[in-house]
Amino acid sequence: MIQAGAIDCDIHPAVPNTRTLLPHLDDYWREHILRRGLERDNLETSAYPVGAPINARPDWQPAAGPAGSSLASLQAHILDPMQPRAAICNVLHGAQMMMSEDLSAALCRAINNWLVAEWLDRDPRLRASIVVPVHSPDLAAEEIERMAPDRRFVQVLLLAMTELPLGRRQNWPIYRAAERHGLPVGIHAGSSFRHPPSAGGWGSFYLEDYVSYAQGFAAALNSLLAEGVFQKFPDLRVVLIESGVTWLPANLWRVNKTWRGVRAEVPWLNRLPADIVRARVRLTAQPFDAPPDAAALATLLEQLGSEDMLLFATDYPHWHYDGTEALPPGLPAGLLRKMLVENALATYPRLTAP
Amino acid sequence: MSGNARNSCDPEPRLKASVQITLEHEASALAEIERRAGDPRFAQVNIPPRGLEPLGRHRYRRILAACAANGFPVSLHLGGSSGHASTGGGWPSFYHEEHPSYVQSMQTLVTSLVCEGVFEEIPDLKVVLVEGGFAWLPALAWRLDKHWKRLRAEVPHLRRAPSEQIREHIWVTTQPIEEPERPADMLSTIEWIGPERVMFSTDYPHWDQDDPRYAFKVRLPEDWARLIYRENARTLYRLD
Repeated sequence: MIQAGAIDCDIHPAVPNTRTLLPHLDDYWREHILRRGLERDNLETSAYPVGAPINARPDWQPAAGPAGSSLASLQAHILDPMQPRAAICNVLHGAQMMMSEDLSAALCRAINNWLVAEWLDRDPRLRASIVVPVHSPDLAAEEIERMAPDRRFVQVLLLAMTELPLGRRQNWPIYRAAERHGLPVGIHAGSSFRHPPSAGGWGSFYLEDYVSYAQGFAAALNSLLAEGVFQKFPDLRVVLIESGVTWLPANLWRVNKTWRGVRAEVPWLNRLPADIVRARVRLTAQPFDAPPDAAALATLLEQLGSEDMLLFATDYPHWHYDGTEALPPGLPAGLLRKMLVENALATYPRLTAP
Repeated sequence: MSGNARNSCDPEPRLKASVQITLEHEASALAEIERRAGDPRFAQVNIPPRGLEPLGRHRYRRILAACAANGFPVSLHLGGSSGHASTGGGWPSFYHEEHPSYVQSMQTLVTSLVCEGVFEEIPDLKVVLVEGGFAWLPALAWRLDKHWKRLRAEVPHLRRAPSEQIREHIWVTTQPIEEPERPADMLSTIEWIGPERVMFSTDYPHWDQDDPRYAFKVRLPEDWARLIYRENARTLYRLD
């Protein structure tokens, strides 16, 4: 059982249906959506199909609507029994990745408005990430500017796999705005499906796709490193959300070695990549793709090389654990204490100074 | 590739060749595999891992079956271009990103071969991952196991845990060898993969080749060194 006062860094309120967003759109976009009949489409992201077992724990499935769409259920399943000090809402929705940048931005604005009205205003424990049109950095930065004055928004939400590698300079307006407002950038598992998960092509099964999200994180992280985002934005922090975690050490070994060989190509990358990652990158620990035995887990945690990096998360309503076993088994007590509260407070300045 | 065998293997019998095939032309691939079967100069069939579709897809199954039936391991040697971006987030700017993205192509292949049930359908299939490094393989196996348990209704053809299939059917070559920050972590990595599945490679003459004297930054136990530098390849390729 989790002690009261923990900080849950990844929960997923779901937009119940597109009609719900209509009051939160401006007149033009409301009419646009109604004339096209888009309100009849739920616009959920293919990265998180509502019917996939992993995305809705059976006992968290509400009587109506998608899992995660009811505040009362979230309170009954997580907030009341676990009594977290705060829980960070990360909405995953097709709005983030639509082909039309304007429609994408309009729906993201509506989702942020809906988050304020239906979630943040109704439970003081809730915090949220700003949902932005990930393929439109200027409009994303505008949305960050619009929402940042509300200090219950503690992060900017991106996806691991989008049109352009995340480090690319076209994306820098997002990082500039996030850094200015003391908002970490949370990179969540998922894809806008502009590219297959690697040069190896498109797989057949959702299982393949979900497993591939870890390699999407590796590529995104390598892009942020190689493009010099951590040097250009020295106060920016990055949180990898729902990544699986245990892929990271081997990736760091590889990237460190590559850097030693070809660093002349990226002269701004002036520190060992693993050192930058330990200082600036955090990871939510649900799911935690743990090795099967305790000794291997201990080795793996040593390889991670820092007790400051892991953040507690339930990933509600995704199904990674049963009952109240919301922590990966076998983590040492000292690490757990840091994971549950301290690391999140150090990562999200707005949790301590509202 | 008769040129390969004639120009390299005939004058230097310590050299063995890989059968080169065109994955997207099934008839010619099958013909070439059969033509080279039984020729001791050919040790394996080579398939570039960046294909139009992941290798586990049904359209490639007869080629993989022919490799197994003719006693050839399948080597997936990094290279080629499929037209797909190197990463799931698009084309990277720098070789600094491209080089580690090779790992992601290998991960797609392993994931596909496992999830499509290829190893259950072709129990004799042996796959060698070449020039993709290998320290990433244990975490991929853990991840596949974990999420297979949740999503297995989608892949009812998979009867055995992904990690078991990987351990049984997949070999890795060492170059470009990952260099753990704590050199001894190389030992746990090899233990998790299985020392009987790791084979040394130099990648001569590429810039990032591994020198056999310095590749491992930690001393391997003698029995592991014997396996990794010699016996695993001798057994797999039937070199005696």
